[in-house]
Amino acid sequence: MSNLIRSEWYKLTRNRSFWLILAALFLSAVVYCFMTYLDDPSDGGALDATSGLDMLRSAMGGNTYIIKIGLCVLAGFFVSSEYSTGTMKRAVSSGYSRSRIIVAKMLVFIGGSVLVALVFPVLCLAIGSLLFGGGSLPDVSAAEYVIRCLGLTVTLSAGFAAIVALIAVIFNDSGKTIGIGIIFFFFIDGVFVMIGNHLPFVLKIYEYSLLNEINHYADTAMASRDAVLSAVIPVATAIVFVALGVYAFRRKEIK
Amino acid sequence: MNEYVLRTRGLTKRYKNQLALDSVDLAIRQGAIYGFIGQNGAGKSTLMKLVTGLAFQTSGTIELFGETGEKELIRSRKRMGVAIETPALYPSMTARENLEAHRLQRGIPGKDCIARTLELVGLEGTGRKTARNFSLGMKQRLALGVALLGDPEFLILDEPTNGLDPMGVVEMRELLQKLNRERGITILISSHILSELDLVATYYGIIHRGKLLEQMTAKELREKCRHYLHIKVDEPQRAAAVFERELATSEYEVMADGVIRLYAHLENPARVSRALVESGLEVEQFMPTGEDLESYFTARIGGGKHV
Repeated sequence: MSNLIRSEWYKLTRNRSFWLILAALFLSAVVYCFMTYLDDPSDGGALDATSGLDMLRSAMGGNTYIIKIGLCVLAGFFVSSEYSTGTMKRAVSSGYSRSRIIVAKMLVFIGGSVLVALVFPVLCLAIGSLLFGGGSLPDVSAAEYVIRCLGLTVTLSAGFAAIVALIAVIFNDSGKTIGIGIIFFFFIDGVFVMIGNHLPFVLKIYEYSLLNEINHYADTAMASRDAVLSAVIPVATAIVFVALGVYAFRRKEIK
Repeated sequence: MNEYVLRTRGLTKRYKNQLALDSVDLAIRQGAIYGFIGQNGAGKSTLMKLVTGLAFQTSGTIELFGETGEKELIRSRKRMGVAIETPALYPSMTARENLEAHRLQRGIPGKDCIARTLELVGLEGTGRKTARNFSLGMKQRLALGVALLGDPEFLILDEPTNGLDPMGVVEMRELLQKLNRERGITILISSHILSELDLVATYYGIIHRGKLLEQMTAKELREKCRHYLHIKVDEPQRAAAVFERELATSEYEVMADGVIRLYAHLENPARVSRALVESGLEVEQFMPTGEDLESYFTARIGGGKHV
């Protein structure tokens, strides 16, 4: 298993899409921070932040799109592309069980996804703190908020990555994975709410899903029970979807 | 040690309404270079995919290195090197990086094997060039290099000479022969270039529409494809004496129907016919006969095209 993980990590660190996404996020964070710094709300500007913590809170909002869309792109080029290049054949015929092969792939993808999800908020916090100073929040200590935000970013991105990885395992094609992943995340909240209006238990499921959790993960005021749920739900989701990925991959014929 | 590296029994694969493999009993002996011949869609790649675990059989068994259990088969695949269909490479990686990714996956200690493999397949000078920018021939060589990493005992190669220039084809053939001779690697190779297989294979299997029609050694094939002069005369026994006396050869057979197969003097049939006529024999039929692998294959599958 460790050989597979080392190999997958090696491939991830040589994946151009991974570095391109990281570079784009780095650049976006720098530009966003300096735009905010240079923008003057009292003179008609729209960007309003006065501290590093403000920048983090603001970045967390935008990061939901990075988690949903960015990870679909990464999954397309890191997981699905293995089918189109034929390298999945190499892996499957290499003498490891399919379960191990796909678990290693999904774990490394989740790891890479967590890195991708952390770049924007961490940089916004760091650059914002340099430009404006660290700052403080009324409901929560700065340290607690930062740790909670980044911690939930880790767990939520892991959960979302597992969902996207399953889509990538099922659809052998980068384009399909990216397209279907984005469409899925674009509509799924609405679908849950719409069905939930008729079937209340569906709404309850949605409330306790990571799809809903990500809407609240940057709240300054969060009860400890909610914080625990926000951490546990994504981790449980990740475990379930990795298991589904294993199930799907074990039954899949590699063409 | 197992006599057979690979054996299949009743191996069948059905895709919805199509029977891709129909009860195939294939056997590949240790140390063989097994030339797998069949038209497009005959079932060659399907069989290779089943053996390598890429697809699942509908029925039948696969025995690899004497193992048949599911877990044992997976473990046995560590002793194989595989290159099926298109070269399976990471396009944004260099040749060295492609091999390194595979080395890590296989858990092969030390990086020396990478330089050795690159040299073996003639890609040591490709530097920072990524696989995306390789010619098809270079990709084929790199795919072979990947398959060879970890010193496999059994190589499965599907159309390995696709895209190679004539020199590349010769080099590939010599490399496979060298690997077989010096390292004792058993090779299952499919190719459309039957004349090329003819030069390298020691065993043959002919597959057609999912059925394995025939398996034979190269020697048996040569026997079947042996060239001779097909001669029919009024007195076969006297003709035999003429061959012994006038042509100084005993390389002939008199068949039950009186036809004579003369395996000597093929390069000078005029001398043979003259000797027969001057001996007063009446020659009813006289023609050079025999097949090469291609014509034998074509005849065996019933005159098919698109080999």
